[in-house]
Amino acid sequence: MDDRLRIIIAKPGLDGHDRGAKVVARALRDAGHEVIYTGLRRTPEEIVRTVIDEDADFLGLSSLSGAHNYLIPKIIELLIESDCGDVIVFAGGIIPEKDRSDLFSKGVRAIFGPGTSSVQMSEFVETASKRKVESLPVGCGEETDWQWN
Amino acid sequence: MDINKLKQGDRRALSKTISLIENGEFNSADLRKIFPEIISGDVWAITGSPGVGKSCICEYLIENWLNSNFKVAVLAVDPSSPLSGGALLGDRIRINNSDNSDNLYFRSLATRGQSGAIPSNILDIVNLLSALKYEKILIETVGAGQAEVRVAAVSQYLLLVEAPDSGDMLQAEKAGLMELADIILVNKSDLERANEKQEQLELALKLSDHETPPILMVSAKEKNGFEELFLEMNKVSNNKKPSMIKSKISLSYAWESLLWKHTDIDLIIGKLETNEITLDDAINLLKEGL
Ligand SMILES: Nc1nc2c(ncn2[C@@H]2O[C@H](COP(=O)(O)OP(=O)(O)OP(=O)(O)O)[C@@H](O)[C@H]2O)c(=O)[nH]1
Ligand SMILES: [Mg+2]
Repeated sequence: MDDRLRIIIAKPGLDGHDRGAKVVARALRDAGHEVIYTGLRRTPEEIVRTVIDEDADFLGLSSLSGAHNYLIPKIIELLIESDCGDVIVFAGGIIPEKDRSDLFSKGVRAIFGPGTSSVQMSEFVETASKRKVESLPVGCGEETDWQWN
Repeated sequence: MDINKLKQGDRRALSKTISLIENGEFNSADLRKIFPEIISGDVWAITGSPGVGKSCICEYLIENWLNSNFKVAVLAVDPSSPLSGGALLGDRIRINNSDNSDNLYFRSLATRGQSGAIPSNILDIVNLLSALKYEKILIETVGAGQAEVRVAAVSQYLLLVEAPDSGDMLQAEKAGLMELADIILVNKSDLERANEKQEQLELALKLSDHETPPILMVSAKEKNGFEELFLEMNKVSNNKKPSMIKSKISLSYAWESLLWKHTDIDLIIGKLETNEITLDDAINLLKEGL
């Protein structure tokens, strides 16, 4: 059985630092997944087109710019419009505690801060993908209270 | 699988179908049931050592085709890690226009299993794109091994990219690729030693007894030399005659994909591993099943 997943790591917003995003991409590759990294400064529309073209199972959004409160919900909204509500969305970078519950309620399933271990991250990916296999709601457009952290 | 959506050109249906092909659950025979007549698009492969600038060049090829209103598809192939089976597919980073046009479909592919799963499936993917009327199909591969040479053989036209700072490929491998190439590009012409590289290549080509491809200098950094490249590409696609070498490689490649699709392949390999049968026995078993 092939449990290899296709995961996109994208950077919306204007900040120009992607060390963290690249570390995450490599860690998930080493966990056996196919990871597509988009590069810097992608718009929500561009990210959604990438999700569609690459047939992604997961979308990881890395934000250091503070624009996450607007950009992440916007991306999820576009995903749902494009019939991609089954895609599992997680976020990373610098996202203050106070913003988190709102993002979770909009369909983000995990938020990872700077020092997150790659083990945790791949555990999330495996657990979430198991939910999908079992037809439990977990996609960004599906109704559920489930979240990783 | 939603055949109606696929026929209507829905991108998501296309993506899902490519995943099925990658997983060996859909192939050209299935495709022909849906699209009885498929007219092949122009298929270009771009290959060369890691880091020579293939992706940067792709960006301009894509831009040029989109400006001429072609429907364009790009397949960017990167190697799977033999240890984890995972892959880092990073060609989009350098291709800024990879995600902003409805006339461009862009898909990253990992080479996957040792049996060369992608090389054996990529032809099916190309056929699918042709069926959906993609007119220009571009395949980027790292030209470092046999599998990649074979990917190139799936294409009609081949661009080989070199750079002054590129690690040298094995001489024999390079000679093979140079004979297959329709155009050889020396990228990074903004760097010192680019001329030197060009001279080396010209010298190497002189030793060949086949018709040799033109060598063009470009700089993807400074966007220099691309008008000449586009002209040369048009020339190539207008007067292409099939070459013997390429036909040979295409045939051996097609033959090999048959091999990997053989229903008993795993069984036969297993028996070889445990010395239950000899190589000759294996070949005879394979022949029976073809
Ligand atoms: N000086 C110079 N650098 C270039 C030029 N074209 C590309 N580069 C640089 O070369 C590096 C590799 O470029 P890519 O386009 O990613 O090369 P690639 O062949 O696609 O690489 P892989 O897909 O990893 O094999 C990047 O840092 C580019 O900025 C050029 O014309 N001149
Ligand atoms: Mg590349």
